[in-house]
Amino acid sequence: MSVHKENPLSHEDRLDPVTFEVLKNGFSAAVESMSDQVRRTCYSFTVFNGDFSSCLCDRDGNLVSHGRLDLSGHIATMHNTCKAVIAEFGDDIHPGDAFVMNDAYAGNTHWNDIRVVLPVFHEGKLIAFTQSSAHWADIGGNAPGSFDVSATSYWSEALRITPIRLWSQGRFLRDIARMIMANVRVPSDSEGDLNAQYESTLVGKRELLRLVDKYGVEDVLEAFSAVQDYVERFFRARLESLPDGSWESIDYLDQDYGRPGDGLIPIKMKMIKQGTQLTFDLTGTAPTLAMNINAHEGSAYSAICASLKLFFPEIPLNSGFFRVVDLKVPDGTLVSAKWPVACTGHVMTYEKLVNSVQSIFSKIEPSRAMACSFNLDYLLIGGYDRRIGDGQQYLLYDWLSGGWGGHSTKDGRCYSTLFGISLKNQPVEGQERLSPTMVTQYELAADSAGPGKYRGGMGIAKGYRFTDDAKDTIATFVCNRARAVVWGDAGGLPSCPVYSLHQSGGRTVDRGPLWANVRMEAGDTLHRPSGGGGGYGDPLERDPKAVLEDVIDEYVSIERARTDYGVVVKVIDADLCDYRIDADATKLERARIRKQRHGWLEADPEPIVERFQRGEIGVLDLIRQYGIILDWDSGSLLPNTTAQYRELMKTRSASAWK
Amino acid sequence: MTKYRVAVDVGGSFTDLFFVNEETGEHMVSKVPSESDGLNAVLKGIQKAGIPVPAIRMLTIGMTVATNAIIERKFPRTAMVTTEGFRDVIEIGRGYKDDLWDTNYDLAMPYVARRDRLVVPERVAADGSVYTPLDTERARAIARIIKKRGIESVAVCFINSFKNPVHEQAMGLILQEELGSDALISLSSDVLPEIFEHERFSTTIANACVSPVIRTFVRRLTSDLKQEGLTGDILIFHSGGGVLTAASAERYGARTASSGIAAGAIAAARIAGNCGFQNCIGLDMGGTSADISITVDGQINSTTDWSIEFGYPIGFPSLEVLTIGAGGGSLAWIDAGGGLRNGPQSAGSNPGPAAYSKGNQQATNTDANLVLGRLGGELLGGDMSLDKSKAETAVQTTVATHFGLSATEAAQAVINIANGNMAQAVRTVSIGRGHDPRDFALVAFGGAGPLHGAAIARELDIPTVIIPPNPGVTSALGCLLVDLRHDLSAMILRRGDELDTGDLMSAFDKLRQEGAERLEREGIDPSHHRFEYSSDMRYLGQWRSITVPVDPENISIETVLADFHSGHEHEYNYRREEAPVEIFRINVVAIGVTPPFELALGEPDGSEPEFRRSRPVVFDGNREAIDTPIYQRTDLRAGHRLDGPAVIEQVDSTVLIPPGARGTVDRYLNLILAV
Repeated sequence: MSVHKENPLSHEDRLDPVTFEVLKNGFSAAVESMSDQVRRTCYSFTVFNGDFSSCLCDRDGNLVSHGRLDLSGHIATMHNTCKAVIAEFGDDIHPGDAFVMNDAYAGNTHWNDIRVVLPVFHEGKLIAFTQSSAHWADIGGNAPGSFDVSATSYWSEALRITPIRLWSQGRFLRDIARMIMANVRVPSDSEGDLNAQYESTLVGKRELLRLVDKYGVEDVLEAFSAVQDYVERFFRARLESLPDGSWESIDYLDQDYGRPGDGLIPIKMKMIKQGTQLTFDLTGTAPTLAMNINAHEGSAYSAICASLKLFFPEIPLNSGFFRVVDLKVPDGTLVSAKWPVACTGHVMTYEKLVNSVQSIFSKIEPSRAMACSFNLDYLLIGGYDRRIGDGQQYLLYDWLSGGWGGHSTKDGRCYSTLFGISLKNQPVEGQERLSPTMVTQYELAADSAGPGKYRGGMGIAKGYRFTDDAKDTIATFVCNRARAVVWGDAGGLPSCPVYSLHQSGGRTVDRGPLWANVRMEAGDTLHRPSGGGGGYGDPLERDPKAVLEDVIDEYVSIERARTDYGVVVKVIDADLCDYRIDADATKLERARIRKQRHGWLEADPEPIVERFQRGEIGVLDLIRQYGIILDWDSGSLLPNTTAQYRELMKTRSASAWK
Repeated sequence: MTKYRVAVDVGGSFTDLFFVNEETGEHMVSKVPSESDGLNAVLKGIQKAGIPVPAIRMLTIGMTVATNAIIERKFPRTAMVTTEGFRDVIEIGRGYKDDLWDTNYDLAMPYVARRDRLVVPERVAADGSVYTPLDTERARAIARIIKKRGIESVAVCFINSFKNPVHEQAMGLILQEELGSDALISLSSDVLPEIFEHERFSTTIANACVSPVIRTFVRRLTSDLKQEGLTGDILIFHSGGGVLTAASAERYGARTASSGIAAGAIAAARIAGNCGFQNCIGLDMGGTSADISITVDGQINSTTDWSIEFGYPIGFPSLEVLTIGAGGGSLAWIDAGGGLRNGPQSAGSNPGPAAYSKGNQQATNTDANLVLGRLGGELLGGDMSLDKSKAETAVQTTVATHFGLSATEAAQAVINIANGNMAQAVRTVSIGRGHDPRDFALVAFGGAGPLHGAAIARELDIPTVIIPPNPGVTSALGCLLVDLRHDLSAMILRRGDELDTGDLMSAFDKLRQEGAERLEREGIDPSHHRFEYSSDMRYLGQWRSITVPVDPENISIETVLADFHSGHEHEYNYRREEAPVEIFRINVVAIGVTPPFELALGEPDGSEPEFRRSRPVVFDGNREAIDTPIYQRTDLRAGHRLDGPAVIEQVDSTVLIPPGARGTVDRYLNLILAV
């Protein structure tokens, strides 16, 4: 069928609706085949568990289509990579070439994400690019896994690969590849992954050329732009029905590793919606940090686009989407890293932007509102494994997700990361086979969820013992949210601070959420629970029966049911799950909390900290009732941080309490 | 007395039965409503066909009992005992959902609530050694708590038990002692002895949940039929494409979790085989969805990566069937970006398409087919009438006005998009796996498949379309065509260059012996045993493996490795001869061959097909309708030829033969179209 009729919404399209729909789906299917190839042939456990993406770009490098299970953080950066290759090589791009790069300063997510870009030609003319991005578990630098928390510049982080040609007119440039492999810790995995990535770009090319054969190159090129126009139209149509205005949100990082001290580090966001255009302004965000969790502009932009899609899940992401979203980042801040600022751990900043977009849209579309989510933490372990000998290092790159925020209609859940909604949780039995560790615990942590009318999702408690086979093992931990604790919203309460306990030779240290290059001896244990999600709505309004169910399932302890929810539960027979609510006591307890809680956030912190030191109250009481933040290892009060956190709680929690 | 072979497909709405007279090969079909549990439907269906129960030699039954029990969560309260510290493996899952981007969308909760997931101190290390012995006192205390709660089915799921099952077995004994011999205990090391805890635990839990349901169903069915005089065997069709005895089905209930859709794939493969095609694609299109399967060299692709409810995988082999939301009732709609879409939302059978006049006003595929004249004004042989004017209005308002198209053009667009979606799915299972659709025949069945089959075949250059004689009850036929089948596997996890042929042979022998024992327990004479071997392999360091068939009579490590390299190249375009290969797992399928039967064949009598009437039908590529002859399927005889344009109507389906396509009726009364 080839009808070209006037259509009020798509008058500029030359394609009939069927050809358009078939090609649009055909592009997605081509990219899906690429991802399938990577998933089925990759080598590293990291890539196997989902840290990779695939896409199709037009000949100008604009994003046309990405994979269904892509890592969300990659997607809105892949056009940057493609454009960087075009900028570098211009007319010097030939059939049979393939390019590789990881340059964060050109808008790639971070050094570990290796991009393979393949130009696609038809009858000698460049028509498109296929691209594969995969996170290599190590790309050199000071720390195994390349997350050197103490780095202030990229020279100590990783090997930087500006766009290079690794396949030249069909010939694999082995010497260059060898140079790259000589700079990574587990070259056998990286070689296998590189191969899988390259082959996947060929699969993408094959599938695209099949469409060209069938529909003709003109229609395919036309569809490249039509698909982008379609997404732009789609997004604008959705925005049209929402009010104009400007909204603000602020979230925090705990502290600067290179300049530790008291005081949360602000990341500010203002969103202006005018008609169908969105402008995000990050002015007011703190200066560049002396550590590796700075984000560059490309990462900040990707965070905003990915989190917008979480609100508009039905809209595909491509360059048409980007036309609707503008970003202003102030120079010299932690959201505008430029050469040579360290930025491997950009995700810590990225996730704060995601939570802010969520917070802003929660006000615009209350039916999809959500409190703050825990994102993920990274544990990177490398060294030697006596089971495989000294010839090769092992690496364990274990991200851990936590709970998502409570919704305006139901409890939070979802044990996936906000940054990479397609990252899989790694199987313990796979990890133990690959690294000299034994996992001591992997389960939900009771009381970790932020209380609310709808509570957050639970955090996950995970720990390891290093077995006798571990040798020269070095670990790095990248997280946040020990002080800028995952917050509640619309009256909901915070979850719990993140920490990490390292037990070595009978001594236990809380190393906190951020540390690099710590030696782990055989027999040491490491416990690193993730955070829960923040609560949504006043916990005193939670149905006592829902609290009772949580107590029966041990998501919530009897003690915290009383303190956080004012619900008094009695045990009749635990074996039979027979617990009951004491309705009278509950009424009294809720009234008492309601009366006192505003005052708790104003109370002088010092005497409360003393009660904590005497063991009368716990960490969760300090945070959820009093908004008090300590230096958790030493137990000393952080007055500035506490003042900031109380401000946050007054805005997000107390202001909604009746 | 005449003996019959009976196959039953218990579906959500209807139970289909297929009877074969073993002496003459003649067959008949019957269809009855499934009612509440499907149990009564079996007997009613047999009675409706007028066949005495004592005349049944063998009854095979495919069913959605387990599927529905899982979807509706209608199973008895079930407990799990797991390693201390790992209580929530199945709740944390893999952090994955089928709609990744929708923050409001969560996976359903696990089948076993946290309160019923009890932990015991014990730990087996990655190498299989015991790190922490099982705390037997605690184990017994837990067993007593479970008893106190009145729970009678328990999943035992310990970390690394696939390497060493000793703790799970000890726990199982304690549970059996405390709960009694009738309690159902599912050990993960027995149910699915494979690495990766979430997948293994999830499978074990699904098994623990549905086994009691299957047990009740099977025992009642057996006693009901015995009361009516049944002396023959009852066999249960399972997801892997074989049958289990009733006793095995009780123990491994989750093996039947995709029993229903797998039968269609088997039927497609067998029908294509009868027509001389070893490669076929099955397209089973009904009211709400289309199930697509692929058979290569007579083998149906199977997978261990599937689930009934997303996030809770069932690792038993299942015939791979790709289901997409494309059926007769699928709705056409315009998205916010102005794109024309089709499905996956469906008007179902109630209210159904606009033409059903039951309140839906949005156009469906059925409405579009009616507007184009491809469907007539009646369905079910006249039991149901369609309102063409309502269909036209729906297509006009839903689609035509928006794009400025005529109703005919709009209806064509709707159908083309549905066909495009199905073609895409066929592409995924064929081209996506390295198979060229031009080497395949398309078997189109289900109520709606025969209307769309030719167009999909043309889209993909598939040369032949086969339409079986009873498209609507084809799945039941599938249940009839299978043997007893046990899928056994063992983890190897060793490098190919560390193994010799002897190692490999003894590993296979061990599985073969276990399979033979199971078949003998089921009363299958060794002369009817057959074994298929395969090996799952990958380049050392890769995570996904591919399955390489192994010749049981000629095992050689060199051949196995060489076959892997070529298999990898075939599937993924490259090989790495220099890289070490890992044998991940070996598999043995133990088959108890059921006695074969042959369907009766028709003989060409030299007659010509005759049509009784004609109507205008719009075909692809035409703007105007063509006056098209309408045939009745019951009038078609072996040897008849009929060329497009033509429409064939039958009680359970409508066949569309487009201009240029040439049809012949074979001796099985299949209609074979050269498109």
